[in-house]
Amino acid sequence: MLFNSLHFAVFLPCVVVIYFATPGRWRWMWLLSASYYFYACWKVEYLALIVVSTLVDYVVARCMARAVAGRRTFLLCLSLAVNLGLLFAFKYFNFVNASVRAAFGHFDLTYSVPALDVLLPVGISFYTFQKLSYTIDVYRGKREPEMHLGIFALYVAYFPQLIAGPIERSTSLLPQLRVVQNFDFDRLKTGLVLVLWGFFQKLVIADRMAMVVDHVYTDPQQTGGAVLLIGTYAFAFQIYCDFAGYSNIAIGTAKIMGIDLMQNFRQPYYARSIPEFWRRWHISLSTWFRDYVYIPLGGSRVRKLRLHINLLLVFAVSAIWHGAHWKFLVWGLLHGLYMVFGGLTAGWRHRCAAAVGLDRLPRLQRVLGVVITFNLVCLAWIFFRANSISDAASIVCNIFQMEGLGTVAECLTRPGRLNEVFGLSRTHLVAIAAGLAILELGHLLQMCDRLQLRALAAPTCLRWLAYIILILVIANFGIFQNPRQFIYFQF
Amino acid sequence: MNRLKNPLVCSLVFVVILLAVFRFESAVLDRLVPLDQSVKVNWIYSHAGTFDYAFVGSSAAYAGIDGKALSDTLGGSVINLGLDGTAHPEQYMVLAAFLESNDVGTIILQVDAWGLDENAYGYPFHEYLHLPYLDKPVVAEVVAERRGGRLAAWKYVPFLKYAEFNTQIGVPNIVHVIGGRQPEFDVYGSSLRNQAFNQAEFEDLAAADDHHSYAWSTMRAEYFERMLELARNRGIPVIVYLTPEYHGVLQYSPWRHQVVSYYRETVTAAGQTFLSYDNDPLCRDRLNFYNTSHLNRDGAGRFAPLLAHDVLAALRRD
Repeated sequence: MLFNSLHFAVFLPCVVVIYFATPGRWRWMWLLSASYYFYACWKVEYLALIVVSTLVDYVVARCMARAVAGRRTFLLCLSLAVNLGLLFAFKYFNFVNASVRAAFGHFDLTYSVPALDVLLPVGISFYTFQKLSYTIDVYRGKREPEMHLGIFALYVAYFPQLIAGPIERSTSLLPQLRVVQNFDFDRLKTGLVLVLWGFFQKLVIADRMAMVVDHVYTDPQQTGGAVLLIGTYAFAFQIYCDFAGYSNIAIGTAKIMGIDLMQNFRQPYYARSIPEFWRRWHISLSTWFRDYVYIPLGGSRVRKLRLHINLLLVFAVSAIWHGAHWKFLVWGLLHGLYMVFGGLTAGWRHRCAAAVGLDRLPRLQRVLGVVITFNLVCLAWIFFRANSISDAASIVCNIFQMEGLGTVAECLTRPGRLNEVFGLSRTHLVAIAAGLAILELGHLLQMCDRLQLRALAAPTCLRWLAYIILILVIANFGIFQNPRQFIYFQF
Repeated sequence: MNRLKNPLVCSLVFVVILLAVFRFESAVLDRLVPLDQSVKVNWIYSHAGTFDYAFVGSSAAYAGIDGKALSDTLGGSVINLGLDGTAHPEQYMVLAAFLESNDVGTIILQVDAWGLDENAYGYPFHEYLHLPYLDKPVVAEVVAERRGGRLAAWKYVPFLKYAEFNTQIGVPNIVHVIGGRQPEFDVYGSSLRNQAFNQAEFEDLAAADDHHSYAWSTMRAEYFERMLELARNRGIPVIVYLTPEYHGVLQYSPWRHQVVSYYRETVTAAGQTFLSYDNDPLCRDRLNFYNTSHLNRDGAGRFAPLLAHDVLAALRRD
């Protein structure tokens, strides 16, 4: 069931109304049923997978609480083996198998392990990491094991964030699922505004940018650098609005039911450096890797060489988490290299800035930081989006050759060319311009506390006007036909 | 304002205001969309007059009728109601709506061998183009027949039709009007193309594995018969012609004979004229076509006197 479907538009109000009408002690049962139904809409068979892995972690965590140190480690390893084993079988086996087969073929050796004929269960990477954080927290003694099987199952399968996060921590979500939430009109309003904002990001911007990106990236070898550069910028906004849109709908939906999920995005393209970008992008995953991989590896309290190796390792694992493809590994390693290179050149960059007098112009320095970071992120996005590494390489080459500026100029004067080159009509262009303007207005509101307070204190009629304008923009410019899946569903 | 603190009242007031805004925008668009005369459907519905000859059909009529040449040869006013990618239900709807506000002397109906194949068109009923015209009874009737209960939603839920098809109607039409978009068709409603024969497409067709499947559509046949009936009820003579096709492709249409027979027998049984150009030299020369089933500008120019001659002969017989 897609968030941007009629099915969900009927499902959500039904779930919310019955949720608040159900006596508090039975609500978990209703939410769990709704969540399992939501998941079963994708493929009923995979419901068994989520149920079995939930049971394993429930039992393991309870046993862990009573076990002595050595046995606790064994139980943790058991949980890791089951969770990561399932993830490997469904997500990585065929990739590894194909890579080994290619390597064997390179040396003319026979390799006969067949590929598994399985579909990737939607959301498996997300709920696996969510369960792992719970088991590791219990192992570390950060929390007690959850005794209520139903509540624990709900923690794993809670439908707003089941498919694509935010990856919640047990310390935050489980206590909220235990509390009986009363209906709160203010939460309903806040939740609905977030849902609306999420739909705006997804339907107006992401799905429209997808048209440009799909068109431009179809045949990158034959496309000019300037066109590819615009296509890459479009992808930067597509993936951001697609994923942030999903997160906002998830957070808003949960908020309506009285549950606070963690913020997943904080205007990431306003980051002034790559480390800052990762503190603003997919926050729930970044912090997961920080807490459960980076810090256990020694964090920043290790020697420089080790620190750099750790950084590369964390980014490589994070990249592979995204998908079983070498291109994701390149994308992740590129970010890892940015981090390492950024760390190594920090002193030199400060000296350079001082030498040219940039340190006396902090605003300009900030703007430069944002522009450079955004372009570095876009360079990495090319590998994320391209169909293969060789495609990505030719896109990068073409962009640096910067041919096709004339083609872009022609698009502005001849609407027919706009359609040929970018797959867009004039209306789409108007929609993109209006959409980006509203998106940046929203970012400004989110970043500036003073403005946010003013907006919240504005008269009802003004706030309603803003909501109505947003609804009108979605109705007039949202893409409703052939709804697209959210990009992160594939992970 | 204190009453707005009551959640129920507050929600209700907001929803009512929102519906009113949607109703207003919908009404505005209903008036503005027809101004976009670069869209053929809007152009057709904007007519109110008298025409000696009205051509009806799909893309073969839209691209293959040389309005000027036909008008000159037939010696009367000509309008081409042909619409790209349409099947008989939409053609019937357009013709019936057109006849509500126009007087037509003769209807010339183009058919082709794919007209009754369920799989032949990607999106054979472009309901979205006609949604601003739901106030026309025949449009509402046919949309209801083809799309069932969705008609009620489009009619009574404010703005739903413009939201659902917002990449095709509504704002795009306004952008066209402001941008001064020119129609792709001429003053007769035809879009003649200066394209050479698409050899690659022909070779793909020849190389296809299955030339035998044809999903016969009884529904489409019914609408074809309704067009004949509509003309008969209004006392307008109908001439049906089978669009010229490049003869090299006929061997790959084993079902063609059956389809053509249906058209021929139905038209003859209705007491009207059926014309076919399968054996004409026109169809043997690929230079007359831009693909296997569509005449190009040169082909349309050569076809016009042939058709005009036969039409005049048929009308004289009657």
